[in-house]
Formats: sequence, C-alpha cells, structure tokens
Amino acid sequence: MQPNYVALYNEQFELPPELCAKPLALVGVSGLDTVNNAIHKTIWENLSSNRRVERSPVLFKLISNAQEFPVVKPKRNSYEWYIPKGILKKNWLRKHLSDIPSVIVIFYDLDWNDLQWNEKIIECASRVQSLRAALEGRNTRLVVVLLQNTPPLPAGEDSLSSERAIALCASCEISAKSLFVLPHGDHLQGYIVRLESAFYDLAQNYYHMEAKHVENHKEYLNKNTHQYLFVRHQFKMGFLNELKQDIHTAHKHYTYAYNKLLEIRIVDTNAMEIQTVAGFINYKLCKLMFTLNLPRDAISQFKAHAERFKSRIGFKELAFEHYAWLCKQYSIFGDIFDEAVRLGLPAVQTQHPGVYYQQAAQYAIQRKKSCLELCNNVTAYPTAPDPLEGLDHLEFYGQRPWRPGKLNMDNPDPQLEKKGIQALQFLEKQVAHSNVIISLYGLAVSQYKTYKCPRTRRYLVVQMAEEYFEFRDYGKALTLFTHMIWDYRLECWWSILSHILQKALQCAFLTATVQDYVTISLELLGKSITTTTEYKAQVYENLIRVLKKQIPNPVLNLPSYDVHTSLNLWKKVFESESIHLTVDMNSVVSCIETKARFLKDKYEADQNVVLEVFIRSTCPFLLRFTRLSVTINTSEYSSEFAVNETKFNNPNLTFESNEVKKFIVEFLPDSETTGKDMQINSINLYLGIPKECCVELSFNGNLAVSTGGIQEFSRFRRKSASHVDFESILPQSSALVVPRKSKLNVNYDHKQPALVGEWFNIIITVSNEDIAPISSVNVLVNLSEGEMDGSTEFCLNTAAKSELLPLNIGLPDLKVGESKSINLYIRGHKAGQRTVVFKVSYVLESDRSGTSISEDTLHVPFVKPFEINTKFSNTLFEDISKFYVDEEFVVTPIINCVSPWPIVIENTSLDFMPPVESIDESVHSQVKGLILNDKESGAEVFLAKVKRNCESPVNVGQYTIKWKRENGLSATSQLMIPGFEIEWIPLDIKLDLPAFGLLHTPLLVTYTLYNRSHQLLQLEVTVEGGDAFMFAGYKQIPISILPESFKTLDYNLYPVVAGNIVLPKIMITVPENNTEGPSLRQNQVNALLDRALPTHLFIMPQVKGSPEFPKAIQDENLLKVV
Amino acid sequence: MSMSDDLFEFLHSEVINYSIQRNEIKKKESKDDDLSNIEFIGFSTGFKVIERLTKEMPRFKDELDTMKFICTDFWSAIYKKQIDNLRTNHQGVYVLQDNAFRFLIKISNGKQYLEYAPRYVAFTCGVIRGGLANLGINCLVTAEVQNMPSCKFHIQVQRM
Amino acid sequence: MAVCAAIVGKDNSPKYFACTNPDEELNFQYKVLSSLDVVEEKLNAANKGSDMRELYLGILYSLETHKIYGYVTNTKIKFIIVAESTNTALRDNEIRSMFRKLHSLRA
Repeated sequence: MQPNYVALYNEQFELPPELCAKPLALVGVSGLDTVNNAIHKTIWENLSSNRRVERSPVLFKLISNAQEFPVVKPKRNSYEWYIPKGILKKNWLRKHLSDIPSVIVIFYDLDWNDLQWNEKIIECASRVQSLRAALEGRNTRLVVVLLQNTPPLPAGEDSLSSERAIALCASCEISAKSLFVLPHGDHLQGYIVRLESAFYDLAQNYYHMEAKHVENHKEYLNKNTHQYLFVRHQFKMGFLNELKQDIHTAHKHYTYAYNKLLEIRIVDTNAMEIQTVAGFINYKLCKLMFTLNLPRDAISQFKAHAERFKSRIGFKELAFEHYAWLCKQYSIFGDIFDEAVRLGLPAVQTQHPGVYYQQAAQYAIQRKKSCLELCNNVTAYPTAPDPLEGLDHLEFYGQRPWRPGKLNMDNPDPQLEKKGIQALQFLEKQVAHSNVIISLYGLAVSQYKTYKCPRTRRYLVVQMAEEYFEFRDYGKALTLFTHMIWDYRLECWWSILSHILQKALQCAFLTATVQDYVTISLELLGKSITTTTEYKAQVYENLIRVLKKQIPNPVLNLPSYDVHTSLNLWKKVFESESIHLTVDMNSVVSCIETKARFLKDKYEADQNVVLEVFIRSTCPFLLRFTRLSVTINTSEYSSEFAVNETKFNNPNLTFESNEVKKFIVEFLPDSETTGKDMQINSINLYLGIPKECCVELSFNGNLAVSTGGIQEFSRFRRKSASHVDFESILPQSSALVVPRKSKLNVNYDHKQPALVGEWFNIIITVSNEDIAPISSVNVLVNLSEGEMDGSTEFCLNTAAKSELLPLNIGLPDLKVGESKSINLYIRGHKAGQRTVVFKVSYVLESDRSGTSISEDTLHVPFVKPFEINTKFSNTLFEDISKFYVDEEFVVTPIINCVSPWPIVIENTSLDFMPPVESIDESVHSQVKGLILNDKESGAEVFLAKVKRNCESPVNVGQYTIKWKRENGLSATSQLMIPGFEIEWIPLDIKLDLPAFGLLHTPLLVTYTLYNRSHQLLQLEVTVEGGDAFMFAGYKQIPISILPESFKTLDYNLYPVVAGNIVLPKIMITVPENNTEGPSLRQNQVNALLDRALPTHLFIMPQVKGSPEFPKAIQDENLLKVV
Repeated sequence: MSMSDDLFEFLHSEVINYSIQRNEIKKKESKDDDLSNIEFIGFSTGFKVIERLTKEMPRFKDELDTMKFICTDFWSAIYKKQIDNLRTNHQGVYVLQDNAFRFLIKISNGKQYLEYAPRYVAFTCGVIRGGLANLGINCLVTAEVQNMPSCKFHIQVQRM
Repeated sequence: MAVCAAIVGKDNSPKYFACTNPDEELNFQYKVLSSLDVVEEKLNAANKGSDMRELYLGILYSLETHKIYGYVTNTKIKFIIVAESTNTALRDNEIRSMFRKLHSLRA
C-alpha cells in the first residue's frame, strides 16, 4: 500500500478545490519583468493585488516567454465511433481556471518617439508571434500594451502616434482594438482599472465563444452512446458561463447537465461516478441559486437530490462510501447555506444550516456503523497487484482505479473487484469517524443556538457526548453530560435524565472522577429516576464501596480495555491519604432532600434560637450518615452547629427508604448578632468516615427543583397525622435577632399641655426592675421624623445652651430596685404636637445577652399661652387706621390668656422702632405682676407719635412679655406690633379746652393752628355757634400762617344749657384757586378737624344750696373747682 | 333551570356552611369569617374547568380577549348568564359587574344580610382567579357587594 | 397512524408519553422535547400579535424519518404527535382531528 492512499481516500469525498474555487476570467500577463524592473513591478502589483469587489472579476497570471499551454486535442469531425470513457475529466476545470488564459496581455516598453522604433517594433512583433505559436489552435485573444513615459496627447492630434500604431498593429498582426497604451506616470491605478475592464470585455467574449463552440458539438451526438457527453458538454457550458460571470446561463446549463445525468442508467460500475458528478452539479446549482437569491429553490433542489440518491447504496460491501457521500452532501449544503446567511440571507428556526449539519452527523454515524459492520474483518491491505494503483492520477472523477474508463457493459474481473473492495475497506477502517461526527455536531450546535432552539441544541450536545464516549474520550463526555443535566431536570424529563445519568456514571467510573461519581450516584438513587431496582442496587453498592475506599464494580457493557485502565486510576485515587469531597446538592435532585426552618422569624438576644431540620431519603436502600450540621450566616461571620444526636433523642442518622426525620438545632445567638439577620447557609450531611473517604453534602434547605405542580394545590394534599409531611413544610431560611426586651420601669412625669415658648419639664425616672445590676444605662431622646423643623429645643439645664438631637443622656449604674430621675426640658416655638421618642438601653451586668432596649414615645401637645391684640387710637381714644406725622396716638396691646394654666406676667415693655417714638420719657409696665387665668385679658397703653411719613405700613415696635407659669420658669415672648402707613399734612390744629364748663359761666377756648410746611399757609376759618353756647370771637376770618409757625384763635364761650353739649363747630376752608402754599386738600382738612377736635364738652349745672354730686363723680379735683 | 343547576347551588351553599362551621370550631376569636378555604376550592375548580371550557376556543389574542371570554362563555357556563358590564383601565385592572349574581339572587334584597355577602362571592373569586391562572394570567380577585344581588368583581393582574 | 403521542404540561414537563415501539421511547422523548423549541417560538410569535389563533400549530419539525406536529391549548398544555415521514397518507386534517380527540379526552 502506498503511504498517501489514506489521504487520497479521504480526499475523494471532498469536493475538488477547482470545483469550489470562484470562477474568474483568466488573463495572462506577459512581458513584465517583476524582479528587475521597478515600473513593471508596480504595474503587476496594481494588477494582482487589492482585488476588491468593485474591480472586474478577473484573475491575472504571469506568463513567461517560454510558457507552454495544454496541447489542443485534434479536432474531431465525427463522434460516430467515439465512446467516452467517463463523464468529467479531472483536468478540464483546472485547465480553464488556471492554464488557458482567455486573454494574454503583452506588455512592451515603447514610446511613440522611441529612437530605436524600427528595432523595437520587430522585437515586439516577434514576442507576439511566439506566444501566438504557443497558443496554436486556441482562441485566446492577444493584446499589446505599450508602456510609455510620456502622457498621451488627445486622439487625432498626434499624427506620429497614429501612424506608428497602424504600423505596429500590422507587424504584430493584431487589430487596432487590441493595442493599448499605458503611461506609467500619474494615475496609474486609474489607467489600470480601465485597462482591466477592457480585458474583461475581451475575456467575456472569449468564454462566450468557447461555450458556443462546445454547444456546436451537440449535433454530432447520439443518445445511445453519448449520454456522458451530454452531461459533460452541459457542464462545460455551465462552467464557461460562470467564468463569463453569466450565472443565469450557467444555472441553465447546470440544470440541463443534472437532468441529463439523471437519464443515465445506474449500474454497479458507474454508480460512484454518477453520484460523484451529481454531487458536483448539485453543489454548483445550489450555490448559484443562493447567489441568485432563490433560497427556496436551492433547498428544494437539494432535498430532491438527497432523496433521489438516498437509497442508492451501490455495493453492499462499500455502503460506508454511500453514507460518506450523503454526509458530505448535507454538510456541504450546510456550508453553502451558512455562507448565504452570512451574506445576508435570513434563516428561520426550522430552516437553517444547522438542520443540514445535524443530518450530516446522522449519516456520519451511519457511515461509522456500516464501517464497523463491513470492515471489522479486514486486517490487511490486499497483496499485489495493488488495486488502487493510479489512485492519484485518474482521468475522470468518481471512477475506480482498478477499472478506469471501463464502461458499464464491460464485465468486471471478480478477482480484481474483490481486491479493490478490500483495499477500500481497509482504508475506511483508518478513518477517524468520531472526529467527523463530533465536528459536525459542533457545527449544528452553534447553529441551533443561533436559531433559538435550546432543547434541540441540548439534544445535539448529548449526542456529541455520546460520540465522545464512543471515541473513548470519557472526560469530555462526562463534562458535556453533566452540563446538560440541569435543564432536563428543570423540565422534569426524568427518563431522559436517567439515561444521561447512567451514561455519565460510566464516564465518571472510567475516568475515576470520585466527585462526579458520588454526585451522580446520589442522583441516580433518587425517586425520580426511572431505572430498574437492580440497577439502583448496583449503584448503591458501588457508592458504599467508594465510601470505604474500595474500587467500585464496573457496570456492565463497558469496554474491557478501558475498564482495566480505570481500575488503575481508581487505585491511584485511593492511594492518597484521605478523601474529602464537598458536593453542592442544590444543583442536584438527589435521593436526599432537606428542608430547614427557623421556628420564629424573630429571636430576642437572650433566647435560644431553635431550628428544625427535616431530612428525607428517597433512596430505596438504607443510608447512614456520620454527621449533620447546620451553617448559619450573618453579615459578619458564619458558624456551624452540629446536631447533637444523643440530646434530642435521635439515636442515629440512619435512614430507611422514604423515611423523614426531624432534627432540632438550638443555640444562643452571639451578642454580636443582635439587630442582624441570621441565614441558614447550608445544611451539611456527612457520608463516610472522616479521614478515610468523607463526602460532605451541602444543601441550602430549599428544594432545587419543585417537583410538584402548582404551589397552590399543595393546600389540599392529604395530610397524614402519623409522620411528618415533608412536602408541606415551608422552609424559613432567615430570622432576625432582636435585642433583649428591657425590664426597666421608666416613668415620665410632666404636665401637659406645654406652652409655646416655655421650657417644658419632663422628669424621667428609670427604676431597675431587672434581675441584676445594670450599667451603661442610656436614654436616647429624639423627635419623630417629620418634626425636625428646628422649632423645638431640648436641654437638660435651662441655663445652658440647648442640645442637638438625638440627645444622649447617660445614667449611672443602677442596682436592683434603685431608681434615678433626670430632668429634660423641651421648648417649642410653634403650637402643635411633638412626638418625642425615648430609647432606653442598658447592659445587664455579668451577662452575655448584650444590650436590652425599650422604646417609648410621648406625645406632647404645645399650646399658646396667650394671644396679643393691639389697638390704635388717637388722643380722643377713637380708632384710627392711619398715622399722621407729629400727631400723637395711643398703642394698646391686649394680652388674652388662652393657657389652661394661670400665667404670671412678670414684666412687659414696648420698644418703639423709628420712625415711631415714645412720647413719655420713661415707661413702666402697667400689667406687671398681673395673674391671668384662662380667657382673662390684660391691657396697657403707650403714647407715641411718628416723625416722618411712610407710604407702606410701619412696625410700631417690639412688644416683650416676660411671663411664667405659677411655680414655673420664666419665659419671654416677643411680638412685633405692626402699625399703619403714615401721612403728612402741612396743617395741624389743637384745641385748648377745660375739662368741663359750668352753666352760665364763661370759659375760654383756644384753637392753635400750626403750619408745618416751609410755605405760607392761607386758610379761611369759620365758626358756627349752636343753641347751647353764646360765644365771642371771630365768626369768620381769613388767616395766614407763616412757615413753621402757628396762629391762635381765642373764643369765649358762654354755656346756656347743662349736660354734654355740642361745641361750636369750627370749619377751615382751603381757598379755591390758591396755587401758592403747600398742597392741602379740603378733605384732608376735614379729616384733621374730625380727629383732632373734641365735639362735646360737659357743662355742669349751677349749684343751688348744698349740692350733692352723683356718686360717680367723687373726685377731689372736682370739688376744688367748685 | 335544570336539576343539575339547582344541585350546584345547593352544593355551593353546603360547602360554605361546612367551611364556616369548621372554622368556628377551630377558632372563635376572629370576627371575620375565614373564607380562604372556600376561595381555594374555587381556585382549583376554576383551574380545572377552564381547560374544558376553552377547548373549542381559538387562542386568545391578548389579556382583554381573555377577559371577554370570562365575561361571556365562561360566566354563562357556570352562572347561566353573562356579565352585565366589563370595564378596564387598560393597565391590568378589570371590573366585572353582574347585576343579578346567581349566588346572591336567592337572598333577600336590602341591607339585612349584606354582611353575609362575602361568603357567597368568595368561591367565585377563586374560580376567576383559578381560571385565569391556568390561562397564564396571575391576578388578585376581590368582590364588592353594595346592593344585593348586584356584585362587582375586581381583577387586578399581577405583572412580573 | 402516529407512532408517538405526548402531552406536555405548562412547565414543559412530560405528563403522558406513549409510542408504538417502546424501545424507541427515549429517542422519541428527545425528539418531542426538541420540538418544544418550535412550539415556544410559535407561541412567542402569537403573543407578539401575529394572527395565529388556531390551537393546532401544524408541523413543527420535518425530519428525514419523522414529522412532528404540535397543538397547544389555551392553558399552555402541549400535545405532540410524531408520524413517520413515509406515511404520506396522513393529511393535515387527520392530524388536526387526532389532536381534537386528544384534547377532548384530556379536558
């Protein structure tokens, strides 16, 4: 056997590279010295490299001067006696792709004005001639390109060039159209692109003619003997048209070729050739249809193709060849499809390349099976003569090397035939089938992933794993199997899961992977797994063996040679000191289930935390664990609590089949834990003996996969009273540790409601009623959220500054029964409720329980102690609504007590603010010392005047009240008293009047008129007497008052009636048309008179005899006057 | 009304009586009736019956389409009449109004027995919830009775 | 005749599985489970508003050897039927009525 046979054998299933290459028009390039000539090199590089899509579909090939081309076969005038020996010659495609150029371009350095023109033209012509001679019989176009230094002149202007061009064409025997000029100065790339498109035109023309030429053979053919030629010719035309880039026509010819091929009767001798060629044409067809954007047609062409040849197995002895061919067909189509998708074809979930890769994998498996079946007995390559002699240089595609070119009617030599088959079987046996299968699965898997088929993908991966298993790569198989298990578990496909697990267990055994072996065994022993009890018994027994560090018994049906290797591996594993494995049981549905719950969701720091752990074994056999512990996590640390077996009367950790046991874990939480969450991190069950082989099973206490249906239905599950209902236990995996409840008695002594502005006293009394002395006693005072608006102050000592919140008050240590009081003061600046929160914490002496805490809230309503109203009046005690410059007025603040507690007014003061000022030099509070009860009022009066006018209302001054509750602390309330706007008029008037008059006794009154302006004030004064008075003085007088001066008018009045008598009415008129003087309007004057002058005077009657005054007028002053 | 419909009503009232009595034995301190058991019976009933009732139905277009089915075919199959008014805010809240709800119609109108109304609507709340749950719509269902025998069922769809 | 029939719950777990050749059961399980990919995708498409109102989903997978058909109830219970590809006598309508019968039996 020749050493290259295996490679050649494998090659024959592949498509030949010349078939798959992209057909490009071949253009030969001659006359370029790319090694020595820099210009030539640049031109060649421009031609051959950087061939992007927008360039013409042309392939350039350098041709030396001594190039030889394939010899043209002698022209056949008649096909009458010609019998073809096969369908497609192996050399034809390559010949046209790379050997026979459609166009040959001869480059030649020659300027039109070259000095040696005549010599050069001869040399050029000879080059053309020699190439023409080499191409004898071919229709290849010859083209001359002159490389010139000078840029070309516009056509027609250069008579020398056109003249010489004609001469050159003539001597080279080429048409004028075949002569080109390439100036190698600037814009070389542009010239070259234009040149190459001209070459491409010529090439297309060439291929068109070639195809025509082939078509012309048709008339010589007859249907009986030339069936192969029909196919060959159509195929050639198809290919030539592809070279021409006419894919529509190419598609047409390939279709004919395929149909012609199907007309040929298939017999044993030509079966392989026809299949091979059919595969080629089908490849071309499908590829072109995808390019023509006919994906549906491509798919149906392929399906029909596959269907047609599927059952044509040919030689039974070589069935694997057929499957190899089918496999290749599918994988090739997958490739073409994938390429089309990459170029933008949209594919769908049910129709994508992966489907074909998957099928290809199936055929690869069949090939392998068939190989196992047929080639098992072939142990040697057949003896000479070598039936495969000449395998590497067959003339036709798809023929047998021991009978090349034999036609179907020939009788094969049975001896040779047998040898050939044996040789092929021998070669097939060398093929690494699993590699093929695995890589096809790999391709399919990635496609199915792209097209959203997770389950199909998983199935393929499982199949891939099975192939790895067959390939005896148990490690990879195990990895793949274990990765796929999860989702099958999730969707509860137990029989599939059982199947995979069994396989995986074998892998784990063969690779001596203890961890996986134990995990898988535990899962296989679970209730969901649908295997026979015998099998489970075997798994169980092996598991027990492993725990005792004994090599498990191999399961049946394992390849014996691998079992032997694995036994050694196991031995090595067990040689090590001790085996400790941790199995994360949360990702496994095993034969052991656990649930754990805290009995409460809150535990006080000094209480025992109680935890229930339920364990169920669904293993059909007895399971014995060596240890059970629970790990509890908080944010800081985690701690493990072993379940003490003896204490809780659970004598052992041995489980019968389907037994559920309850364990209790009890512990005191660490003092650090207070205020934090505890989490059941894991429940740990230990199998085996520590320091020998110990397996730690770690559960998180929740079931990994819910095996029941809808959760809500569990409510109706029948409950049996006798044993624990495992299903209905709801895990509770976390609990909060809260501080110990306080045992102190805290009393809050205070008198509600509090008054706004006062320091409100709360006496907090803490009495230790706990069982032991306490220390670190602390009262933390705070306001509730939302009330922190700065309107409340806290302090412990009213003399000191107020404290910031939260206010922490430390108390001394207290013995049992001892108590301690503290004063807390709160001052509120706004009425409303305050919610004060007191958190009392302490540490019980000589105790580990940490801090105990109690919390109280106190609602303190704040009410106003009093309300203050202010009245303003003129000196006649009449209400006013405006201040006038220099006119005196009276301010009367009234304190209305609204406090439920009596209020002592300690002092008051009114500080006037400019422009308001006091009339009196020193003012004393008139309500000092007053005690006001609820709803009582206290008032005082202040005299004031304003110095200047102001258009907006002014503040009169700050009113300050110093007050306290009876027995309380002094508090000061301040209030701004708002006033009115201030007006100024130039005139003021005062009336000097005695307090009263006596009947029939004259009395003197004086009106004083002030001019406050800087101008002369002219007025007219009229006085009207009444019935009650006789009077003497001006009745009507015009007066002029000098600036800043005054004038007095005196009147003598003689009362004629007693009682409260209307005074004579004075009227002041502002003269009309008076444009001089300060602005003064009549209504201002009238208003002034109204507010400044009293209207009545009390006139006493004359005393007759000894007068008796009414009691109301018992005033000493009065008597004096009389 | 056929015999079986009467039996359905009798069965319904007995189930309620039984549940209420059992609760009373269990604990007396709570004032309100514990109706969750009845609601669960309804849930499983609805969950199971919907399978049969949707057998001949085309696939539902959307949530609203499903609600319409509840109001018409589903309601007719159980209560022999359709829902009188369906309203929605298009954000997962649906209000189904039955002006003459079958389990209330035999109780005297007026305020006298209004306090017992919740007992007679709990089963139906469960039925709606179960039916919708099986159709893939998880929701909360509450009922509101203001004037007997009219009843409004509020469905609030829980979106994940 | 169909060679395999399966009922799959809303959680995609198998509820009922039967096939004519018990030796092939595992293979059919894989096939049926794989076809759920297509069911899921079709239901997704239906949710996104494509007007597919029929419970019968038609052919899910057309393999070399078998054809797989699907049917999904409003409650997302899936019925899957596998028929041999060679059985060309089986029309769409017959498959449909097989599914109807299955659904009636289950409901």
